[in-house]
Amino acid sequence: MKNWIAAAGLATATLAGAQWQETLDAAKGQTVYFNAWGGSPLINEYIDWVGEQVEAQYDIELVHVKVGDIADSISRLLSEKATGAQGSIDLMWINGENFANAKANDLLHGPWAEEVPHYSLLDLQNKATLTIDFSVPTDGYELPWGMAQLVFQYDSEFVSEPPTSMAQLLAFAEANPGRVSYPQPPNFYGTTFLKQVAYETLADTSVLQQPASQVDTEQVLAPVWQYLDALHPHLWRGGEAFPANAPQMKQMLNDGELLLSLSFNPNDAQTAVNNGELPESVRSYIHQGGTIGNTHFVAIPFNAQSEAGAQVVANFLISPQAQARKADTQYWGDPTVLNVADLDAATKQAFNNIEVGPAALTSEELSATLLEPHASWVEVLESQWAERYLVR
Amino acid sequence: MNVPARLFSSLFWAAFLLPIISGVVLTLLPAFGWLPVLNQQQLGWHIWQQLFIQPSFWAASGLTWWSGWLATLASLFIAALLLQYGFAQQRFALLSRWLSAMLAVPHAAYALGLFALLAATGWPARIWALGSGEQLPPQIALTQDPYGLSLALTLALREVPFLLLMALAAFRTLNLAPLLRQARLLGYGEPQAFWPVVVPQLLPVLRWPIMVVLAYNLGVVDVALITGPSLPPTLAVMVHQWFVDPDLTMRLVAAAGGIWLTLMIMLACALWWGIEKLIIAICMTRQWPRQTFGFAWLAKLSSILLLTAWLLGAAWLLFWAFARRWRFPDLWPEQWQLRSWLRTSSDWWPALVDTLVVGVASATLALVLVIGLLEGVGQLKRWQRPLLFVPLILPQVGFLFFVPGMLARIGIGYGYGAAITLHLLFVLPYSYLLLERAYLSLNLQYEQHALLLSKSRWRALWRVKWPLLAPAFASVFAVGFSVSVAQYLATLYASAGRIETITTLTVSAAGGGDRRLIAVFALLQWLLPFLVFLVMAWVSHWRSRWQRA
Repeated sequence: MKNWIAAAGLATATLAGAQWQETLDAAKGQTVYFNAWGGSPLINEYIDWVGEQVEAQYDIELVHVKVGDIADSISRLLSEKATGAQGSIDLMWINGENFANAKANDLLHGPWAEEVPHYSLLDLQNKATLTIDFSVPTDGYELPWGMAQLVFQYDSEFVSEPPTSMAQLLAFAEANPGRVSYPQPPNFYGTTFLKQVAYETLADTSVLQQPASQVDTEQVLAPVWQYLDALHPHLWRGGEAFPANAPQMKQMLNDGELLLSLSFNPNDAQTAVNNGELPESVRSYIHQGGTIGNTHFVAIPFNAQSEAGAQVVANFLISPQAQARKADTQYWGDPTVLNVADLDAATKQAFNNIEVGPAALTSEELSATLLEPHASWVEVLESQWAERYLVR
Repeated sequence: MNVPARLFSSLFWAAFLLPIISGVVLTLLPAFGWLPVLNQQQLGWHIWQQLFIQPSFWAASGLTWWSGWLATLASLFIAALLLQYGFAQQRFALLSRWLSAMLAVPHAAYALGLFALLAATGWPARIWALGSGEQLPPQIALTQDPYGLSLALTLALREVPFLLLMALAAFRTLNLAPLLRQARLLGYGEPQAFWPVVVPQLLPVLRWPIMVVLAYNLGVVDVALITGPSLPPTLAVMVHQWFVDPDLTMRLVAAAGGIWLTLMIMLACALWWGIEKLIIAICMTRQWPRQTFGFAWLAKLSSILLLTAWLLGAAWLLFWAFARRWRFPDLWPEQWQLRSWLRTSSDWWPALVDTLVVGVASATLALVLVIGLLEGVGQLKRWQRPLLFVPLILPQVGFLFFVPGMLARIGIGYGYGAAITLHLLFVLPYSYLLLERAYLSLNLQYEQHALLLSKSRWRALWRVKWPLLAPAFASVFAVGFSVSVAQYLATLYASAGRIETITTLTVSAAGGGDRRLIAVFALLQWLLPFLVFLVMAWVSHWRSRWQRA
């Protein structure tokens, strides 16, 4: 009986192997247009390296189409669908509400993600966000690429004790008027900040995991706006202007215009110190009750011209080789989606050898991760924020 | 009309009207509820109702109206001051020599450079901090101020060179310099000659250029993103954000917003027509004093401001592009590096090539089309001229969105073809405007004599007329090139992001926030059209010397 099961397993494995071989054959010689945010030279260099690797290993030409915001690419897909034009994107870096919307409007190809060989290496057991993206099941329409967690940064030259909760942040802002801010929603860092405020001010946070349409959102979110009403007068420019995004806040932290910044990458501060963007005295921290964590993914559009090539590249992106390099702060410092404990000894060593540095946070320090609220809360938080603070 | 003439004029209009008409139609439909891809097939006014209740929609419209007018009137006023104080008499030799080069700086790079003066971490703030011993930057809002003043100032300073160049060209065509000389000989002061005599003649000629500036100031996205307010932003920025909203149905609201912005611009242009008449009436009825010392003083101040803003902006970008660490309040970087250039060379090198290819191609094509048109059918007719300005007046953020899909559909595809096609829309009007001036100021007798002597139209063109026009061709090419370099949305939409120009690189780096890299790209954006201007100036200089010899 056992043998029989094993044999069947082997048979499916060979079948899958044969299918994958077909994909590999089809991918040969293809050009894959990878639409991914191009704002970070470190990430761009990493993607260049991926390009060299897939060229050498699979004979695929990878073109990094650098976009300012992946929503631009979603717009493009929409325009292509509307006019029936040929697809211009093969692979895209995506997550959250962009994914939810693209999936709901049939702009994605799939399901395919669960069929790529390296899918079995993912840490599905411990990382719930690998298959549930902002509470939306991925259903094989996107493949996890990296992990993210909201972290805060401060310059220890000017700040001795950073505020480790929203309550402390308010006191900190009162004591240092004009030196605290957050990116303006709907920038995705700004929206994440709002979610973090929600987690720390709502009495019952379980409501955030349900679709927002099921509750009275005005009433549920009242404590969030109460908190921000108190916070805003003490913010940079008295809350009358906000930084556009987290990278801009990083620059403002370097200038001393702000005393705190934030990021979705726990190693971000260290890589910034390494290349002179931030002073050596910068440190990272998270809030006591944990911070929001999520996963970023790659997806293939419905009209991809090089679908096989895109799958092969995606599979390479989650290979131990590519993930170990990505996790290294020398290159990118983006936490892995793989289950490192299950990898072979040599690869495990490669992960363990990575030096974190004093500005970054170790995985132990990161401790508690809060789940992203259901994707429908994004729209609610952003529109209520706009109604309250966009109109003067 | 002979065959090549007809060919040129139909090519000219095809290059022009097809993208515009398809763009307008494809924006109108969603604005009225028609976008079948999103299962939106209910025609009606409901999208407009949705538009009008967007948070701070009215505040954003008001801000746009205010900052757009403020910028336009301010740049007009500065240009008029400089002209009155004696631009035409070469009193600002330094400024006028650099005018074309200042015009060549793309708007986004200019705005980033102006941070040197305006930002809380700019040089004035640094000097203040060094003087007062402060460690942290002052908390003043000179950029992104809620009233859009920094936005208006940036746009105003940036548009002065354009208006001045246009005015100087008109000076020559209208032959105003001798008139001013005569007035001086008769004992009239500068204001007495300038305001009641020059301005009433100048303004009608400058009507279209001024409307172009007005439309640009109302519809600009990239500069407003860099230095405009964000609570609320200007309407163009809002529409841009709706186009990239994760909620896809916001595309319909965005389309309606784009049309709303177009209506605002059309209203503004119509209003300008009235204001122009009003200004002329005031100029002609008012008693002007012999001397206005306030004006002279202001003129000197603005010429200094124009030059310092331009020079300090370039220096600021230059410092940042080679800085490794540069903290507040140091006046210059504490550590330098070449790394910002080296590590991004795989970005900017191909981008330079693409920028050159698209820029040279669209500037050349526009030049050929316009020359063909002017030689073949002559000047555009009165009713045709407004059509020419449609692409400059329609906000790009609305009508460009669906055009590339259309182009891909008819086989132009993504890439160079589509990018050049879209750039041409914006290069053509400027090229026409400048070349028409040159043709008008050319003495027609030359051509007739040449025709009589050589007995061949072609020979007359090649031997006499075109060599005379060569400097104009060169400067039209340079302007066309710099217009192409500055295109952001047109490049982005046309090439599906596959063609990177220096401008798309600058804007995407601006999203990354590393000021050193932004400076590298902005500096290149600054230098490239500048170099083309230098080359073209050299070419026409060399050409005229060679002719004399």
